[in-house]
Amino acid sequence: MSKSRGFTLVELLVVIAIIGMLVGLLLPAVQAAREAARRMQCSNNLKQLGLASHNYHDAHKKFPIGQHIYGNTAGGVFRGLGYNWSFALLPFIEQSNLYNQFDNRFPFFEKTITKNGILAATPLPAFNCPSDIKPVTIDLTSEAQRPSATSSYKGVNGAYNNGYSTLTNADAAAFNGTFERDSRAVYGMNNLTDGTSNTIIIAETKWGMNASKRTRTYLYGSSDPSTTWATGATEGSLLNGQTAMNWVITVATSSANRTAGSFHTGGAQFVFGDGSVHFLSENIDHSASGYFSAFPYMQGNTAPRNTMPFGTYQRLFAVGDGQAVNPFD
Amino acid sequence: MLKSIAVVFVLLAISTVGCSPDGPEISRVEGTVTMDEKPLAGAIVMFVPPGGRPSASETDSNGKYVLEFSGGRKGAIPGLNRVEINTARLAYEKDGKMMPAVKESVPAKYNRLTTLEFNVEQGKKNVADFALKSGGKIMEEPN
Repeated sequence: MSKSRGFTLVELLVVIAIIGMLVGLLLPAVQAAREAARRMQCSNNLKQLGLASHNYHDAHKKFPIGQHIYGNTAGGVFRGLGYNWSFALLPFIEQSNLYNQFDNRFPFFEKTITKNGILAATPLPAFNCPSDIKPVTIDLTSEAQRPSATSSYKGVNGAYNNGYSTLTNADAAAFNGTFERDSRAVYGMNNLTDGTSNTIIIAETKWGMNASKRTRTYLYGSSDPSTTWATGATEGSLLNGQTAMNWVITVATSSANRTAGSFHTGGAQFVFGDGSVHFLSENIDHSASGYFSAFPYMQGNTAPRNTMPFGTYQRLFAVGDGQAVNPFD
Repeated sequence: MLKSIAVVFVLLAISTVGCSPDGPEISRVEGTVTMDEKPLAGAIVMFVPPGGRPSASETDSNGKYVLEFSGGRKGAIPGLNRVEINTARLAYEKDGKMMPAVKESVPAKYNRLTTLEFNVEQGKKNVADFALKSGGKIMEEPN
């Protein structure tokens, strides 16, 4: 009698069970690998923007203006043309053709005299984080039916929210971001006195942090609605460090529109002044103190200035807070 | 045979190790916010710990809230937290309609110049109720 040379049923089942388990282990790993690849692509985009801002700085001796304000003042007078820092960087990321087609004597969304309004709907992969679920274009809040290309990246305009129209030159300490509005400040590397490797200049944003889907970032420029300052031009191009990354409150406050965030789990990526890109955890040391406690010498608050509560996150956002930064990643 | 089945179970057990949420340790915080003994609906409650990420939540129609941390985790970092409560809202778009902005109704002593504090205790469910009184200077966060 010859010995059977096949497998028993139990042996077969065990083999199938092991294979099933290995596949079960592998599938989530594949998903994680895809997200890792998307994050890497995003990090590469940011690195290019870091290099582009350095090249811009080499050519102009200053970083670009964060946003040329375009808004409706009380008297109905519009000023500025709305172009932002990412528009200024176009010639430095091999997009000179697009840059030159804009007629920058007119606002970036102007459609009747120039082609600006059509060009402004051109999406650019260099400003798109593959993890971000933002739409390709959205209508400008101020100009209905004017689709404008979206971006995943915003410039940094301060440790705390400083978009207030009531601020004056006396409040210059509040304008401590690398990319400010044109009426506020223009900074060069010499202003980054904390050291370029301790200052964030560009940050990631995330679509939908605000339930009304106003967490939008415009690629070429941003403008205010004609009736109110509330959904401001500044926050269409710039953000600050007042509110924690990936903010949890989705109601309509200025916080979510002006806050860094990403769909990469647990934090977001940031470009520093030296051109390097870092992933920072959303659990980074944070002061989150409101504006008034951060700038106590303002608004009639006479508490001594050295009580400025800057957390590590805020110190990284400010260009010259003069406070040492703890190790952050 | 029994051995190979045992091996399968051991491997299964190993594969589930390490599946726990990351980030700092937090404690659950919930409570009720009232203004002049009436529930305060739609207020944002923010807890700011001495170091680390702040937690926040919005009160429901009964003034109740449960603090959210991040990534779906609920709670706040233990320690003496500074507490800010505000109700201001920007104008926003909802279903294609423009909703009007809401002005701040909570005095500055509870938000911009807050004196509220709460000690979040480790490893227990914290109940933080705040009974606010109207009156006093209100500070809008302007744009």
